[in-house]
Amino acid sequence: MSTVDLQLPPTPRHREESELFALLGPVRVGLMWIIRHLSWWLMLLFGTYLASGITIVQPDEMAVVYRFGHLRNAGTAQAVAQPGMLLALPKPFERVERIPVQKVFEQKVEGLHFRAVGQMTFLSSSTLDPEKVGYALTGDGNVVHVSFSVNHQIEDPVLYATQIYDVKPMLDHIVRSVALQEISRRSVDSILSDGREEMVQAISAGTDAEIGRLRLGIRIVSLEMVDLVPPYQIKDEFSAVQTSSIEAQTSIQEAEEYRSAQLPKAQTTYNREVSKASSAATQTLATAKAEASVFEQLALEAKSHPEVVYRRLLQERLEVIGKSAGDIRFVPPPLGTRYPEGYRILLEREQ
Amino acid sequence: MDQPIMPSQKFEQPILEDPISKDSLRRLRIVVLVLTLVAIAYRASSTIVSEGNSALVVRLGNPTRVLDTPGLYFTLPWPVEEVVTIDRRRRTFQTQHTEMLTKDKKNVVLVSFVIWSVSDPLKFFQSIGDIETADDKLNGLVTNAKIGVLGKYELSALASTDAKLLKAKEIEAELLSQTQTLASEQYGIEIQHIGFSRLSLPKENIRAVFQQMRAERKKFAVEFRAKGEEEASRIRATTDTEVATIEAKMTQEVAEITGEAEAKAAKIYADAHSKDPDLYRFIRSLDTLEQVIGPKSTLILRTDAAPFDVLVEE
Repeated sequence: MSTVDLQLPPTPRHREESELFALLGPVRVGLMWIIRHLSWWLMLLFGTYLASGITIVQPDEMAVVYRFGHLRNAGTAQAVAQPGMLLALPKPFERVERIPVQKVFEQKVEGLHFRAVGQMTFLSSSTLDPEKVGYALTGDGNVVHVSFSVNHQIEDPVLYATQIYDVKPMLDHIVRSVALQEISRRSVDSILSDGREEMVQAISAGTDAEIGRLRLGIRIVSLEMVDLVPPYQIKDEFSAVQTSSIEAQTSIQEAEEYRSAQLPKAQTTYNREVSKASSAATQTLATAKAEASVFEQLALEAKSHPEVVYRRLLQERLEVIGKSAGDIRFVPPPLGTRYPEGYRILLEREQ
Repeated sequence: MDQPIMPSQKFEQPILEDPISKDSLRRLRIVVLVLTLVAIAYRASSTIVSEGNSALVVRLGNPTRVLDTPGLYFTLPWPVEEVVTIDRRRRTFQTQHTEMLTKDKKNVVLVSFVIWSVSDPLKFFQSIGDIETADDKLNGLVTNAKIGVLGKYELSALASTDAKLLKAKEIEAELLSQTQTLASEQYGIEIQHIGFSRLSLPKENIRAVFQQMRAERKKFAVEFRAKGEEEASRIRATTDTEVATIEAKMTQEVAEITGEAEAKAAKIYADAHSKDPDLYRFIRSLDTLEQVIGPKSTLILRTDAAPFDVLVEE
């Protein structure tokens, strides 16, 4: 009986490995090609490394270059690189720091305002805890909450990059410090009304001066007062003052309206009455002249024909008088020159 | 279609070609090894001190060198030498809220801020160690000076409407001079500026301030109202006076115009009537008769008087 050399077929696992091997064939070939051309790849890698120091400085930026930590071209105008392509060595030989000099940074200063507090629980309190709620004392011993918004730009990139750890808290403290001093010299009414604008200008100027003196490498673009309010606890009283102020203004306004109505009215009456009087005077004079003229004509005529004129005048009037008289009696003329003794005319009298 | 696998069939193993020679591989390994060793040695024994920083070289716990100038420095590798970098840029610190008494025995809570930097890295490292600890030291130093200095000034030096009384700048300058030397000599710290970022009253005093503010507001409310009424009544009174003046002027002017006209008319009449006084008298008599004789009058006329005489036969 002969023996048969039996080769067992590969198990399923072996079969999978073989298939995977076949699938990875191209990858293997690629890797081998890379290893075969390793020197090229190393040169490419080195080139990329060298180029990693090249930096594009954006139009709103400037840049400073540190060579082994030392500012390149320190003390010269070339210390600050202008926008464009900046050639620098790769790290660790040189390090490029881009500084956004054109960007305007906005910073809220709310340390003297209750907004700095996370929760508004103090509103229901009858006092203010200085550790929790920010405010400023006025010169006349009152309390106000105030907050600002400061816009600033980097003015000196070298100073800003090398001398200042973090400019934000410095600016915050300086604005608060200047504001405290300006508020503490003014009365609350001046601050809350007409002196407000002047105070903001003083704070802005003071902050600018302090930043310049301390050489922080930035400049203030603008400083705005975001809010200025009396304490919430005194809100009603301030509202009452506001109301009474408005009422006072209303009273004055009404009086002004009265004045505006009465004076023109009086002036109109004056003009009308004077005008009427002038018209009446003219009329009177015209009438007088006309009547005088009529009289003169009549007198002239009366001189020529007195009997006729007198008689006509008398009769014309008798016609009118006769019509208006209640009764007309006629008596005969006396026989002589006089009526006889005891001559009577009896008239009926109304009871 | 899959072919059935015969028992005698053997699987061929792929033959790997050697892609690079053994020498090349060895050279590559050496290059990589050397580069790695150089990188490790560089990293372990060099340090870069940047602008705004200083570094201390500490050999087995003992500071041996201060690296003040920016640049590349070489040291012995750790653990023989260790490099401690100290940030010398200016930074801010804010003191804690502490109540203090003014000269006029008033409690205030004055929070200050300090702009400072490390001036002597070695002293700073030996006396303080790190930035966080420096804050504690500065807090103690400035608060202590503040309590002393503020005790010499009244509250009006910090808040007053009288500019002559305000001394905030002087207080800040005094605090700076008191702390500057101490901070420099003891801690290697340069204090550049001290300012006040909060001026508050203890919360117990704020109640009184609120009461005062309320009373003041009430007073202002009354004053505003009274001033408004006063001004309004003044305007009304002035208006009435001006109206009365206009009316008086009107009456006078009307009287003058009328009187002048009457006088002129009278003169015209007089001039005319004087030319025939009898006729005038006659006409005026007739006018009077016309006016006085009415429905209740009885007119008695003689029959021989004109015009009735025409009715009587001669």
